[in-house]
Amino acid sequence: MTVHPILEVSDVKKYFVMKNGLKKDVIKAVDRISFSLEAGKTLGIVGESGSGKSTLGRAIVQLLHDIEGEVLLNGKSIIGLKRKELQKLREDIQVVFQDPYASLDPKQKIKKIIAEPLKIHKKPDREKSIHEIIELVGLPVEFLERYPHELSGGQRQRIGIARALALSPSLILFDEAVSALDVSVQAQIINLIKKLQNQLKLTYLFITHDLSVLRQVADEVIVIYRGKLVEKGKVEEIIDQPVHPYTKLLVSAIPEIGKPIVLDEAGEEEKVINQMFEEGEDGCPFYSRCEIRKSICLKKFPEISKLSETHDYYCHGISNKKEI
Amino acid sequence: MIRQIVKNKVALFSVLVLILVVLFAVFAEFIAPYSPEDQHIESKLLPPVWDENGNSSFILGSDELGRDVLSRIIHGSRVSLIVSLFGTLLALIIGTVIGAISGYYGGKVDAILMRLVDIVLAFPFILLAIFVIAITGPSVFNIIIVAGFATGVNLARVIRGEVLHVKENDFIEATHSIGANNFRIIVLHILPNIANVLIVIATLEMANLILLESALSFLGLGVPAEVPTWGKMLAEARTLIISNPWNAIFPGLAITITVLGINLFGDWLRDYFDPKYVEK
Repeated sequence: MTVHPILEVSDVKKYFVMKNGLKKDVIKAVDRISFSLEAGKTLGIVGESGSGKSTLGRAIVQLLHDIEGEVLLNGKSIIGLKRKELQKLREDIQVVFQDPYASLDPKQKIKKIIAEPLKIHKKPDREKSIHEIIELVGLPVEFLERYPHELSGGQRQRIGIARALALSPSLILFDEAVSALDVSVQAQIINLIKKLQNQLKLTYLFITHDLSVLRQVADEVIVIYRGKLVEKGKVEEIIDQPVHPYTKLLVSAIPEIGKPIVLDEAGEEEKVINQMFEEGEDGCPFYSRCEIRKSICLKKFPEISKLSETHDYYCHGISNKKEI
Repeated sequence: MIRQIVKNKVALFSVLVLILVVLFAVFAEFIAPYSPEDQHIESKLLPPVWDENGNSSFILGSDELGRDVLSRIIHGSRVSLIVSLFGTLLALIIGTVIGAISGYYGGKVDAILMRLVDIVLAFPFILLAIFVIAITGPSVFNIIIVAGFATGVNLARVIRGEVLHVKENDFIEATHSIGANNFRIIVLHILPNIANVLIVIATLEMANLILLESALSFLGLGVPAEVPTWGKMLAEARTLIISNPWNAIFPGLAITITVLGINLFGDWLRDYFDPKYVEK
């Protein structure tokens, strides 16, 4: 069964140049990342804070400029579009942001917030669409007359989702969309997100640092560390059989009841920060934290290795050093 | 909105003061007992009517040329109001346009605009005013232009800072992501969110401009000599302030009450436009 991918990302790079007096530092926020995503599926993007997962998301939805590489949506390139084309693209890709308190304009009523994308894209029958959308996200129509500050975090995030749905996009990016919510509300929002996906045949990019959330929503996962893709696979593969040492570290960090908390990693953080800038130019960024590192890791980022049809990883140390 | 004003005593007071001042300004000819230029030489430097030497035909007394103080205050409200109102309006327009563009776009545009602002600010305001008015001649219109421009440039700084602050919010990026253009974001999302600051600045500037106008009039750079203004009345009364303080007190009171009214109204307006504000 081959389904044409709705989103194809190949070799995407986003470098930030920091001027430090005369010295220029290049920060590789996203470095040569490729993946593709089929319609109706959810791709999870995981990594720790600062790993570049949000930058990758923003690069894909064209909220950042000067991106290298290629992003195809429905087979068409969406990199470097002109203003008019970009505006058209916005109908197809929408974003739900992390902080439901900051992502809604405090001076506008909910009605105006949901209506805005419809207005910008000159859609007819706005009043009717607004009513349909707010019911779709499970909020009563009375909420339309309220201001964001009168709503709770979960309700606001529903409004954020409603705004993203307004233009019936084919792809929605959830940028840590449930991370700011408490666990019970988180579950409700996740259920809503999944229900909408089935109902409206939506494709999702789901950025999160929380693997337990990921297991609930994602079909496939890419793991990112310091701008590099380190492992890619189906969600079960990544969570149940991680191979890359970084993914293993992430998975072992999922809290479980009854599991003892490992304390010997307390000093780890500091060591990492110290070594952060001492790494080789194109080496593996995980080198300093890696337990199975080799000297080659400093010089060259590994090529792709395949564990199965769907499961890829990038690591020099695994295949032959695994047993030791 | 009117119901809200009536409910709030402070707002009601400020609105009544402002209405009164505006009525004075509009119907000065009908309200004032005398023409502001009429000189009654036989009854000059009179104290107000409640003083034992007062004269009932000069309710707030008369100045050293025998002109009726009340009539001059009523007529003087015109210039003061026009200058402060239109000067502030002009300043707000200039300040908002420069500040919003500078803060929103940043980078080179910001650097160039802010250096231009620095150049204007490096000139002492009075020097600038003398320069411009010496060329164009003293008139209310010219004062408005000079004062509005100078304060507008000043405001641009403050507004730029506010824009920088607001534009970092997630909802600005969210608005980008639904395809809004920059103009829409600035006008519909950034400006409403800095409105409370704008209102406070505007009310303070209005009060400032009343004083500025009097300073210019004092230097002889203000409005033509025969037009009465509150600032000019203060300046004229200054020489006699020990022997005849009443001449300074009444225009001073007029300025104070008007400025107070504007400030209180501004305060209320700011609350009114803040959706989080709940009427107590």
